Amino acid sequence: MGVYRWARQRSPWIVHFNAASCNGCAIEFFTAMTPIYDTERFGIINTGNPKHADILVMTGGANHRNARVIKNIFWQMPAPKAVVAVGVCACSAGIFHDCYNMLGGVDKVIPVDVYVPGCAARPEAIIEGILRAAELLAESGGEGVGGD
Amino acid sequence: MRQRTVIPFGPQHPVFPEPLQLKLHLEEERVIEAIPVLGYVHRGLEKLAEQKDFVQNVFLIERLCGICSFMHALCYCQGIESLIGLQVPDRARFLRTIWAELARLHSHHLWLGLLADALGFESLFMQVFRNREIIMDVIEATTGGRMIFCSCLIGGVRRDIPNDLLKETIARLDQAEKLLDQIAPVILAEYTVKERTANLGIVTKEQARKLGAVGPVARASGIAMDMRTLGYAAYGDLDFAPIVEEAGDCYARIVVRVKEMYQSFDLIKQAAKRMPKGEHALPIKRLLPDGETVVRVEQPRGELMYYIRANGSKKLERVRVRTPTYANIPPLLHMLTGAQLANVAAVAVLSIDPCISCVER
Amino acid sequence: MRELEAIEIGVDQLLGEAHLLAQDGWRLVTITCARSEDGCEVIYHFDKDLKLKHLRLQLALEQEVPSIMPIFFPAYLAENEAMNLYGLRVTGLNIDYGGRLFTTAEAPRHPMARPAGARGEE
Repeated sequence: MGVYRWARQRSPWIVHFNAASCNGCAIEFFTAMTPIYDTERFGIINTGNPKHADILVMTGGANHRNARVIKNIFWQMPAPKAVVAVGVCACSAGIFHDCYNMLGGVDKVIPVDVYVPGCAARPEAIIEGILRAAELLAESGGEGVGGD
Repeated sequence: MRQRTVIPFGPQHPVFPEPLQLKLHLEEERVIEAIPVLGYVHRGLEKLAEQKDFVQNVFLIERLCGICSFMHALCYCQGIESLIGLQVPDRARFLRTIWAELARLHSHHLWLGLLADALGFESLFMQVFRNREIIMDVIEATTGGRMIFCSCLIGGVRRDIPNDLLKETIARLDQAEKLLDQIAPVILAEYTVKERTANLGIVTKEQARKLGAVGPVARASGIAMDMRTLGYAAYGDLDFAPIVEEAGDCYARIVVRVKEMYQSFDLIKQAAKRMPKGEHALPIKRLLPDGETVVRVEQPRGELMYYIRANGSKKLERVRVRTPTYANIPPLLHMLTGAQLANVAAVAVLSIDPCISCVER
Repeated sequence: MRELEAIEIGVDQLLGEAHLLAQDGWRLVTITCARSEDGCEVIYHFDKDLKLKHLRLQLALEQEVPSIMPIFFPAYLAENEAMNLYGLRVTGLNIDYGGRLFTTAEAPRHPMARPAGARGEE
């Protein structure tokens, strides 16, 4: 266990993208950042910039127009990185799975590491999902920066 | 001639949780023209609503928007009830009003928090969200869900609020109101908030009318338009008046929403006091909807309209949803024209309280 | 069968009627497009002091309809949406998304133009 592993597990920064979501999970994600749930006690910080982020939190499924944006954000993130799909829409498009404009879950576009079910997912579940992703980050890669 | 630049604002933007893209045409720092690019959330819900039967649709319609899911279900159920000729029990009408106002409260809190965040007022954002959790707790205690309530059904509501729980609800809301008393003066009287929002994004009464503004945007411009005065659910039995401000700027829109939060507390208390006894739901048996209707309710963001057409079978022919943000996009484009780039996100866009998943369905 | 109290108008009357309503202070609520047996049906919803008025337009397949955007600016989203989802042919739009307001080239062209499961559905 080196310093990288320790750092990755203890201070994951997050970028959030709301794809074809109803906002329910997105708002619950915001709630998880605020005092009652307080993800900052785990060192989790919400950043707006994918280039600063370790974990991508996705809410909502992928549709034809936002697939490009999801890929874009994912590829802008430096490795090692993890993706958390929050809510059934991000996992499998949920109730919208046979809509004409939906591609399906986020995993149709980018690799997903942690699936958080729920409609809408509860803040506790979202925190659990992010912490699992942080563990994955700590286990992944070598000791060097950008190891994948 | 000055140089023109086009800045794509969104779809992923730090202050804006939703994927709205605005193509901002700038001359130096000033916005000359703003063109919205939509479709990042478009799912095709209206078509899906034609494929499912009208009872299943309630649960689909709720997932149109996570913030105001109850209002969508309420509007849809009222439409179907008018088509099958069903009179909802009195207790259900009052319960619906309580949940509708709780939804408005949590939505306005959310908006206030996001606005504070956008203004860089981090501590206020945290305070507002702490207060919002009280309301979320009440919602969870009474419906079982936090974001998607699933409590409105055709013919009434899914579950009753027993009287002791109702009493506790009111006590909790009193607590939230007291906390709001501490927050509201901060946002309304704080010098920095006023400096950043007053005289910005002005929509005059005439313009608001012409651009079809609805909800708090219209009311902040002096138009006393509130669908609750139509008297659906129990609003006909409660005392309230639309909250109107005259200035038409971003600050006026903040004032309207903060006052509406107090109004919601008041409406819930009134409804709890006059809560009638009796059934909370009626069976719909073998009734099938036939004909067409237009229903309107007041969402936290303004007027929500449903057009429903049925043909006497289980499946509906057409469900058209016109959400308030859909109507508030033309006023938004008007506000953005001439605004400074720094004010676009924080002030102009958030002052209409946009909900993009509603717009695109 | 409960029908909406809508005023049936022809395509050539649309702009005139819209002008009168605008002068009278009516607000455009939205435009609804729906399938009918032979083509398309367009309903224009107007509001004034919480009262509603509806104009109903029956269109044959591929018939053109003028945009009411010069009279009611808010119509542009609804008209672009109808062009996208139903393939409605609206002429004279100032802001034209080219029938791609919501969907991209990969999605079905006019997804709502045919009922679900109908032949020819993409």
